[in-house]
Amino acid sequence: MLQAFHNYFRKKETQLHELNYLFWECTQRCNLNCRHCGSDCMASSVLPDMPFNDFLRAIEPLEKRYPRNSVFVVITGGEPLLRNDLAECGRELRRHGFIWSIVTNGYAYDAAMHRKLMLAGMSSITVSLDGLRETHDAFRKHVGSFDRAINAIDLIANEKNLPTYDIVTCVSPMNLGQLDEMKRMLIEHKVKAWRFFTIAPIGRAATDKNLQLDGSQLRQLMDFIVATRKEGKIDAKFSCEAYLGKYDRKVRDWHFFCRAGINIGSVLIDGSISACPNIDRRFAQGNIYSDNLIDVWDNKFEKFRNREWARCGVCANCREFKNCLGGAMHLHTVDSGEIMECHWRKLI
Amino acid sequence: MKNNRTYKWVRGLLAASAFTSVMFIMQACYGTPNYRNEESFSYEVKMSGIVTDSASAQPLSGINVSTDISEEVAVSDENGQFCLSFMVYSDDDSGYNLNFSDSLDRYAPLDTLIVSDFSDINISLAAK
Repeated sequence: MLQAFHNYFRKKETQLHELNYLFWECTQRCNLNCRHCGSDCMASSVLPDMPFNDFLRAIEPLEKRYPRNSVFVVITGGEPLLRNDLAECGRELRRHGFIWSIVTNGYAYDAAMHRKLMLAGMSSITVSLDGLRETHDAFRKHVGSFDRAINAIDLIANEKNLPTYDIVTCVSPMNLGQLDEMKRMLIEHKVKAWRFFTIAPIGRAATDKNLQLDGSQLRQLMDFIVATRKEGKIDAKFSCEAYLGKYDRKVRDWHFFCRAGINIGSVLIDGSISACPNIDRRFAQGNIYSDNLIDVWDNKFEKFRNREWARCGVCANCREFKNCLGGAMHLHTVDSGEIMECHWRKLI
Repeated sequence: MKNNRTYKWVRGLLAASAFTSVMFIMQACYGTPNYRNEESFSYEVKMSGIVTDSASAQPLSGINVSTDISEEVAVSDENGQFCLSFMVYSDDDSGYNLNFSDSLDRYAPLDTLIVSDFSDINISLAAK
C-alpha cells in the first residue's frame, strides 16, 4: 500500500522534475588516492579546476526560477578543499541565494578551514570514514588520514551552527567486522548521523573485486543498520544507491528513489551537464559552455526520467521493476541498459 | 499544467505533515544531507579604522587590509582610513584576523586579531 503510494509520488515528482540538488565538480585534484574511489580522481588532474565564475554564470537561470535557499549546491571533486577559493565560492553562492555543502575526505579540514567555511555559510558536510585506523589508512593508502578525518569529525560534530552533516562509510569485506567498534567510536565522538554505502564496481573500484560484499555480507550490513536504528543512539541509514526489497524502509527513512535527473543535476569538471557525478559520463545531456543549463534540464534528461530502457538483463522479467525502475543510475552504463549489480537479488 | 499546480499544492501539505515529510528529505547517494532554511542567518561585518606610522604617527596610505576568511581587500586612503566589509553566514563572535601589508613594501606586515570595536581600529606599522 505504502509502496504503491510511493510509486505514485515518484511518478508525479518525475513529471514535475524540479532541480533542487546540484552537484558541482569543482576540481578533479585529490590529496589522497583511495583504493575504492568511484570518481577515479587523481593528484594532478588533466582538467583544470573550473573557474567559479563559469559555474556561477551557468546557474544564474536557477536563481531566477527557484526561490532563494531552495537549490542546494553540493561541492564535490576530487577533493574540494584543495581549491584555495572554496570559501569565497561558498560565500558567493550564499549571496546568490543558494545553499551549499561539501563532500570531503577530511584530510585538509582543520580548525582554520572549518571556521572559514562556516563563516562562508556552509550548511552541510559529509566526511568519509572507512574503518578503524589501520583499515581506513589502508583504503586511503595514506598513514595519518584516519587521524585527520577524526579531527575533522570532531570539529563538525561539536559545531553548534552547522545545520546538518553526516559521516559516510563505504562498507567492504575489509571493514564489515569493524562496524560495531566504529559505531562505539562515532557515538563517543558525538556523531549524530552515519550513512552507509557499498562499493560500486565503478571508477577505480571497477577492477578490485575484493571490495564488493556478497549476499550474506550485505545481509549482515542491513541487519547491523536495522539494529543500530532501533538503538537510536546514532541516525544510521543506508544510502539511496539501491532498492532493497523488504529492507528498504527498515534501513532508511523512505523508499528507494533514484532522483538522478529528476531532482538531482550536476555540472561536471569539463562543463558537462549530468546528474550524480558517479554516473557514466556518457549520459551527459549538455555542456554549460555551449548550452543553457535550464534548457537542458527542462528539455533533455529523458533517459533519467523514463527508465523503461533499464527493463533488460536481470531486470527484464523482474517482479520488483515497478518499485525500483532498474535501480540507481550509476549502476548502468550507456553501452548496456543492464544493471551492474542488484542488491535486492543479493539479499534474497 | 493545472494538474501540476494541484500536485504542488498537495505536495506542500504532505511535506509539512510529520508523517510524510520524510518523502521529501532528499539526498543523492554521493552527496551530503540536504538542508533548507528560508530564513538563513547572514550579516555584513564592517571593519574600519586608521593606519599610522608608528614613529611619526602620520597616516599611511596604500596599506592593504584583508582577513583570513574572505578575499575582500581594502586599501587605506590618504588619511590612513580603511573600511573593509564582508558577509558572514554564521553566528561566531570570536573575532577576525586582520592582515596589514604595504603594497610598496616600506612597512613590516602585521597580523592582529580584532574581537570587538570593529569600527575603531587603530593600527601602527613600523618601517622596515
